[in-house]
Amino acid sequence: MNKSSIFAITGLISTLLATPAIAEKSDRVFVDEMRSRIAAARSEPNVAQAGAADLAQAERRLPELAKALDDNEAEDARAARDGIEALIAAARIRARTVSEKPQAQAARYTPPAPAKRVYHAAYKPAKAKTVGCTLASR
Amino acid sequence: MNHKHIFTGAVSAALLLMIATPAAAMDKSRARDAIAEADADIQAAWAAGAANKAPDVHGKALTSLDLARHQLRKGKERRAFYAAREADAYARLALATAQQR
Repeated sequence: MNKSSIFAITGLISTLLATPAIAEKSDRVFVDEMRSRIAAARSEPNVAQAGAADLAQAERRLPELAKALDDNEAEDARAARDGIEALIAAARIRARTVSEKPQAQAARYTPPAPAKRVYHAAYKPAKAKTVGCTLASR
Repeated sequence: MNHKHIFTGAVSAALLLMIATPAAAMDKSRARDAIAEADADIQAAWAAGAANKAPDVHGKALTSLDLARHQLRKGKERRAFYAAREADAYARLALATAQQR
């Protein structure tokens, strides 16, 4: 066996060993990136309160994403990623709804009209009408 | 010697079958549960008016749910599970959008 073939085989073996390790590292980086996106959304105003359930659900899906990436199931990984992104968007929408509600209520509020003052005319007894026909005149 | 090999092979196959069967059943029930959950969330979004207020997201949820059911019928439980989870997420987004508008 000459030197160049030994060199080629060594290179091939090291590539075979290194490729899964690199892939695993990139998978972990991707999952960490999704985790940090969830954390970033949580730090936005009102999102932690209003979208707590959605963000918790998104966090629960991170292991599913990691599993799909580990198994090289591209379609499953895409579905998991899209699901997490949809949940983050849902949390943000809920937060926006909460922050918009008081403003909408304020815009809708119209102060009550001032009570109308009613001027009552002083009571004057009607003049006694002179009766044209009396019993005496008959 | 030959008999010994056959016996070892049979025992290994039986053990593999014993391990694999509950795992497959678990995958199937997991996919079914995910489909049921997604279906419930899509119904809730529809009741909130998502079909009119967020038709694109609601449509995506329905498409993913259809895909999940199709994959389950084909015996691809894992793919069905992931599609159902995606449908569930879109249903939640559709519900939030409908409640906002």
